[in-house]
Parts: sequence; C-alpha cells; structure tokens
Amino acid sequence: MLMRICDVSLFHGDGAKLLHAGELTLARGDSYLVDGAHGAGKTVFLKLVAGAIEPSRGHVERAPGTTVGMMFTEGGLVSNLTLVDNVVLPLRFALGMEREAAVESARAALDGAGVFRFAQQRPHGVSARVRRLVQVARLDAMKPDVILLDEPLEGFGSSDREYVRERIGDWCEGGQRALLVSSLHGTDVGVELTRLSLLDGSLRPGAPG
Amino acid sequence: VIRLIALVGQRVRSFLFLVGNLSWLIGRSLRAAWELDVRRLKLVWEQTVVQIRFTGLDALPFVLGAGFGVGAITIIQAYTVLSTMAERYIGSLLVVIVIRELGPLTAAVLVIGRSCTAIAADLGAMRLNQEVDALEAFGVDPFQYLLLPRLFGVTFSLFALLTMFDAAALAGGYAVAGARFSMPWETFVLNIQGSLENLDLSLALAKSVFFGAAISLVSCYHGLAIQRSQTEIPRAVTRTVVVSLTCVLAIDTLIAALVYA
Repeated sequence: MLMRICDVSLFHGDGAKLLHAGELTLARGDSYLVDGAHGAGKTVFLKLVAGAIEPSRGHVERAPGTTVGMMFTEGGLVSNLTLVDNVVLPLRFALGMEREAAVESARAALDGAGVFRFAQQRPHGVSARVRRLVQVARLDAMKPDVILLDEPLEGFGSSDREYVRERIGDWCEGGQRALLVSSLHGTDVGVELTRLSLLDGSLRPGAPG
Repeated sequence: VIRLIALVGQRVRSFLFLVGNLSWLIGRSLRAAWELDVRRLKLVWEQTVVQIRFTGLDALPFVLGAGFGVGAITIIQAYTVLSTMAERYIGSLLVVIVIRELGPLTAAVLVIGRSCTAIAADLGAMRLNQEVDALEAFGVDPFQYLLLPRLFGVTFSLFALLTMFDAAALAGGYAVAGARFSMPWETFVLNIQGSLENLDLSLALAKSVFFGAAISLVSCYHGLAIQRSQTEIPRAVTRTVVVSLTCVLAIDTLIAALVYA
C-alpha cells in the first residue's frame, strides 16, 4: 500500500460540503480515473491526495518514503525558476539527488519531451503547451510512486497526446506505480483505468450517472 | 451601542486570529528549520542567498544614501538649535537619535517598503498560480523552501543594512560637522567614542534581528494566506505594511521601555 484515503471530507468556510471520499487505497499497479463534470471537484480531490490541501475531516495516509508527483492543468511550475530548475527541484529536494545528477536527468527528460531548447527560459516566457510538456518531463525525471494527472491530455495536439500516452504507458509498465487521473470525459490515456466518479461532491465507484 | 460593541468585538477577534496564526507560523517555521537535513539545507541556502541579494545587496545604495542623509540632517538641525554648544553634543545626538532609534527604524521601514511588500505579492501570486500546491505535491515543504530563506534572508539583510546605515549616518554627520562647522576628525571620533556604549550598539543590532524576523514572518503570512483571486494581492500587500510597521513599533517600544525607561 502506497497511500490510503480514509473517509476524507472537505467543507467550505460556510460549512457546506465540497467533497467527500470514503476509503480508497492506492497500491503499486493501481490505476484510477476520476470522472466528473466541470466543477465537480476532481482537481481538489487530486490536490487532497497530493497533500496540497488539508482535509476538513478524515486523513490521507502515506507509506513512509512514498514519493508523489502531480501534473496540473494550469500553473504548477515555480515562476522564478528556469524550466530545467523546475524539473531539478523535486529531484534534489524530495529524492535527495546531487545537483549534477539531477540536472542531467532533467535535461534528458526535457529532451525527451522535445522542449530542451526552452530549458533556460522561465515558465512565463513559454507557451502553455511547453509548460504542460515540462510538467510531463518533471514526472518523467522523478518517476514518483504515485502519479496524479489532472486532465493530462488537455490542450495538446495529436502528436503531443500520443507522446503523453506513451509516457503514461511507460510509467505504469510493470505495475511499479499507482496512477490517479482526472478527466472530464474519461479521455483515453492509453492505459486501462478503474473508473471512479465524483457526483454531488461524493466519490463513488463506476461511471457518473 | 450594540453595533459599536459588535464592531469592537470583530476587531478584537481579527486581532486574536492574526496573533494565533502568526504564532502558529512561528512554530511551523521552527519545526521546518529543525527538520532540515544537509541536502535540503543546501537548497534552502541557495534560496537564502537569492533573498539576501534582493533585500540586502540591491538595497545597499539606497540605504547608504538614506543613512548619510539622516546623519547629515541630524547634525544640521543640532547646530540650528544648539549653535556653538552643538560640538559638545554631536556624539550623544548621533548615538541616541540615529544609532539607538532612527537607524533600526529607518532600515526596517526601507526593508518593509522595498522587500516585504514584494515577498507578500510574490508568495500570493505563487499561491494563485498553484506553485505552492505543486511544491507540496512533489514533497517540497513550502515552509522550508519558501519561508525559511525569506526569514533568514530578510533578517540577515536587515542586520547588515543597519550596520551600513549607521556607518553612513556617522559619515553624513561628519561631512556636515567637518565641512560646515570645521570640526576636526579627531574631535568627532572622540565625541562618538565617548557617547557610544556597547549596550547601544548591541541593542540596535538585536533590534534589527527582531524586526527582520517579525516583518519577514508577517509578509510570508499575508502572502501565503491568499487563496482565490488576484484582487487579494494588493490587500495583502497593504496589510503586510500596516502589520509589519505595527510589529516594529511595538518591539521598539517594548525594548525602549525595558532597557532605557
């Protein structure tokens, strides 16, 4: 077991329920799709799992040493760092890699994503597409135990989509990692996913409706 | 009357809420510092250097100019009031007015206006752009990576800027005393030496550390408290200035009351 979501709830400031998820365990080899309409709380749920949001009730358990990475639909890159340093940062901070080794891995990952020539630019100096590809490269360099993807194919053309599907396929190969993908229409990300749906703020097994 | 009581109650509640949150932030920062290991310390140090460059080094010409001006103005005003007696009191005036009080206060005000506002706006923008969420998601503790470098960087910079400010103020004082009133360098130095006690200097430097820690925490708090929209950024910046100045004046009053009263 890598992670366990234990009866987690999130409330607005006025006490209204925003989201509730019962028990969910993420083990190596698990792949889930979180489906739901716009504003259903898919991104919030992923952030909850990532530890970026504290739940109002319940908790998210993480096995010691478990690494997590997330791809955001917007933002998610530190604006005062270059793109290569954005990839390097978690490698050094979370994995404890030396700077030289981390830079080497980051460059290889950026090269793989076809955005190496932008490596020394800052996030606001490149297009949204490049920023998203850098996020893919960051995950590719880090290869965390739990991968959270928020609308991973959004905003990409067909060749980029194919590349992202290929990376997701690689990450999941051999059942080494757990994958949690959010998607508006259950987009095909190239691997088989167990479907969960967010309906009326509650996470349930199966397709919405 | 009930409206007035409700208003006072609301203000008191907001104040207690702020004090509670700032206390929590102090505790969380200490925990983040305690949990730093060698490899993370290296990264935090790199960010601290960036902060020192921005808050300390980039502000140096401005602070030197301000210090020179304050020292010069103090002596000009002293001569207008004390006339020929001023020569005897130059040392005491510079020590009491500039080194004890105006130095730490002016340096703190300059850092609040120049750096703390930028810190609050920067952290607020990072919050809105999901940068802080991304750091947390990837296992990069924002309290270690964002808060500690700003805390150490601003505190160290304010300490260094204060020493530069005081040196520039003494230079400004001598420039006026020497050029306008023909005071010899030896007399000026003896005057300062006779008035400056270790306690004055140590307290001024200690103040800069307390001021630096307080204003950096306040600016980080207001920046990281931003949640939803861009319109919160200017409000956070304004609050940073007001609360930082209040903290600085409160600490200064407390120290003056405890030591000199």
